[in-house]
Amino acid sequence: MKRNERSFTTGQDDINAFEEFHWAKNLTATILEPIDLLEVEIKNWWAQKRIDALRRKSSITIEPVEELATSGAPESPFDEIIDRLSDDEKVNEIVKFLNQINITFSKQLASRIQFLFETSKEECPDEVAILPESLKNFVSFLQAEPNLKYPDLVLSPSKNIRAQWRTAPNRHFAVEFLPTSDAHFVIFAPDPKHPGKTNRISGIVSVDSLMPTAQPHGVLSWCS
Amino acid sequence: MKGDLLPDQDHICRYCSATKFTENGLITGAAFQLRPVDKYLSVNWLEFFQLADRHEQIREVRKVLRLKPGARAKLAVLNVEEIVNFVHTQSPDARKLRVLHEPIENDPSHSGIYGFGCDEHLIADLIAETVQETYPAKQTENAINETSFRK
Repeated sequence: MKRNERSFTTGQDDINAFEEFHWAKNLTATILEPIDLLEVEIKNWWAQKRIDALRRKSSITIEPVEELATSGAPESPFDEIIDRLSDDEKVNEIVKFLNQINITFSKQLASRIQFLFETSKEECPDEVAILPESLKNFVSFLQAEPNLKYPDLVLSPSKNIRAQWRTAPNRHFAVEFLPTSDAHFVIFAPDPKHPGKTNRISGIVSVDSLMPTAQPHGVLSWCS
Repeated sequence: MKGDLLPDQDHICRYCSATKFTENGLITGAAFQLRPVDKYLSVNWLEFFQLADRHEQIREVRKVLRLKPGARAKLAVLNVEEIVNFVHTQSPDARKLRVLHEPIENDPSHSGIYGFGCDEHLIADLIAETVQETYPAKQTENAINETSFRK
C-alpha cells in the first residue's frame, strides 16, 4: 500500500477534537510558516489534552503548559498524521494558510496556486500536482520580501513553483523554487554601463541569498 | 529522415500545459524546460504534414499528441531559424541549438531541439521569447487560434 493511501481506523475523536482546537486558535493566531504552524498547533493541542487528562485524574500537581509541551512526552498520534499527509494535502494546507493570512495579494496567490494544482492534477492525475517543499520555500521567500509585486506563477516540469516578474524583454526575473531551499534564477536586465545592451544571467543560489544576488542587477526596479 | 536538420524556414510546435503560461496567456520558459529524463525538447514539425494551411497542420498535431491535452493547454508555434538565431545571438555563450527530425511510432512529425546543456533555464526563457502564435491543444468546435505577443 502506498504511503498516501493509508487509512485510519482509530482516533476519529482525537481528529475531531484537534479540528475544533485548530479553528478556534486560528481566529487569533499569529501565523508562522504553514506546515510548521500545523505541527506547532498539533503539539500544543496534544499538550493541552494531556493537561486536561491530568486535571481530571489528580488535584495534586499540575505542570505549566509550556513545560508539559516540551517535557519529552511521547509523540502524539498527530505527529504521525503530519507524516502521513500526502504531498497534495500539504499543498492544500498551504493554500488554506494563504487564504487566512492578511498579506498583500495572498488570496490572489492562493487562487492561482489552486488553479495550478487543479490543472496539474487534471493532466497528470497519478503524479504529485505541486511539490509542497517548493511551494513552502516560495511562500517563505514572499514573506521575507514583502515589497515584491504579485508575480506570474507557473509550474516547472519537475512540479516546482516558478515565479516570474517581467515587464519587458530586458526586465525579466524568473525563479524556480527547488525543494532543497535553493532557487534557480534567470535575470535579463539592462547593462548599467551600456543601457542599449541586455545582461543575461542565470544560476542556483540558496533562497536566502536570492535577493542579495539579484538586486545588484536592479531587479527591484521592476519587481517591487 | 531521422536526425535531419529541419529547414530554417519551417515551423515547429510545442505542447504547453496551462501550468506553463501566465494568467494573461503568455507562454513562459517553463514550457521549454527539459524534464530530468529528456535528452532533447520534444516538438512537432508542422511542414512535415505537407499541408498548406496552418490550422490543418495543427489539426494533425492534435491527432498525434501522446498525452491527453488539458482543457486550457496550448500549442505554441515557433520558427526554426528564429529560435536558433535568437538563442545564438542572445545567450551568454552564443549557444547553437539544433532542431532535428526525431520520428517515433505513431508520430512521424516528432522532432527535437538539441543543445540545452548548462544554463538550461536561461535557454528555455530565450526560446519562449520566439513564440509566434498559439492554438488550443484540444480540438473544440470553435477552436480558433490566438496570437501571443510578448512584451
